[in-house]
Amino acid sequence: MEQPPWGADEAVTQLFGAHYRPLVRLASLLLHERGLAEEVVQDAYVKLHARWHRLRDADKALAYLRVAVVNGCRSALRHRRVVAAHLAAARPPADAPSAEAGALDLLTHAAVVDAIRALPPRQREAIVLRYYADLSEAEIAEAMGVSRGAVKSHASRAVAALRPVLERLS
Amino acid sequence: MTPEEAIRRALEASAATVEVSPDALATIRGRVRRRRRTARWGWATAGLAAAAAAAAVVALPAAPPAPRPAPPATTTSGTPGGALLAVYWIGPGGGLVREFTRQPAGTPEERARAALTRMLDGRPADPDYATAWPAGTRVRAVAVADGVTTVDLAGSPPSARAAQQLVWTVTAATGQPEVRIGPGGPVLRRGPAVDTLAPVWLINPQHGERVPAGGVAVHVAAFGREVRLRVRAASGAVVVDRVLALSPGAPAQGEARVTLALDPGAYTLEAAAGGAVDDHAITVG
Repeated sequence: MEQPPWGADEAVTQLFGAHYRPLVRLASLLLHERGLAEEVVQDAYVKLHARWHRLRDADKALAYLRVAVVNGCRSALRHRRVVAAHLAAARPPADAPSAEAGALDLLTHAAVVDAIRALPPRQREAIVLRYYADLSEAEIAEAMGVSRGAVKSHASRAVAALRPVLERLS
Repeated sequence: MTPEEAIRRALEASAATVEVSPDALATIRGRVRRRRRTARWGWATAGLAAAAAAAAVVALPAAPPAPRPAPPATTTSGTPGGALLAVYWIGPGGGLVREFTRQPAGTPEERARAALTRMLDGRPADPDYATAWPAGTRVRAVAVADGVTTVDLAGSPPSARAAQQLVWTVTAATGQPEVRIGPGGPVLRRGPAVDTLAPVWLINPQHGERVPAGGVAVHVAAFGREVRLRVRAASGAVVVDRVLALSPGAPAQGEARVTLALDPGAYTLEAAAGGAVDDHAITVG
């Protein structure tokens, strides 16, 4: 990829336009708390600005933002104990599903997302980075700061944990 | 549906409901300015590897691309009576938009080649649209095997956006979920619709279309709950201004259809949703 001749301000503006919304969505899947998700992603952009002189490359910058977002979500979970709060607040099974296919789909999606929410953090990261962000194993390893073998084992344990939920729904 | 596909759809549906605050960029800029004024200090960057991003190879069971809004009833270009072929373009806001053309029916390879040739030609019917591929990129070969369409181009994608423009166009033509650019390239799939597609599409009528007087059938797709449809006459006067409810579509787009009674003349249709607008100039009568 050609080196963009951007300064740090320009880089933040460009990378904001291209990646902010998907990164907030990624963070909200890792955290399940939207206000906090935006805060974590904004932190990542502020850090990127300080770091830009050493990156100077849009691809590396995106990898940097992902690492910062994954780390930011991890520490937010540790500090705010949102996991516990969310497990407690996990919604009860919905009653009277509508006959509408759309509504039924929404219930199915909600049940799967609830199950992903209940996974241990590393397993949830592996699942979200793979199936939502569509990253390769190497990219997931980089974003999580672990080996590719560890990514594989987190992902396969997560899929195994989700399988009963998925089978119940199908 | 495979477990992987169920997980993918559920995550995409959940992500599709997340919106961002409109002043986020200003917030970041403000924080950068405040940071500059204070003494510089090291940011925690533990775990960072700035190695170049490795090739994105995601080996997953094949699944058909998610359903997309139906094509328009008519098109403005191509072979009359041929098969409808979708070509994706970069819309004004950077998201993908779709146009249809009619081409002679053919094999999946022939359809993919025809759609790609049109995409690389870089001449959408709507002048607001563009291609992310550099002029002069050519298709050398297209082959479909085991759910993967391999496209051999004289060139590689200049950006992730260009790769997605190609992937959406090729998967629409072949009905196969995966695409490889160049025989040794990584296997690519469609990115999440909500992050990849433009927030709103005016599907029908297409830009530049001449519609018979009587009822003008308008078909819109967008993310969210509603879309605002405005029609301006040649004078600039707004003759229709309506908010339409969208069918529930998450994680795909929702759709709305309405038939408008318009007198003969030139009009601009504007569909607005999620802070974006798609507009098409049409002639009635």
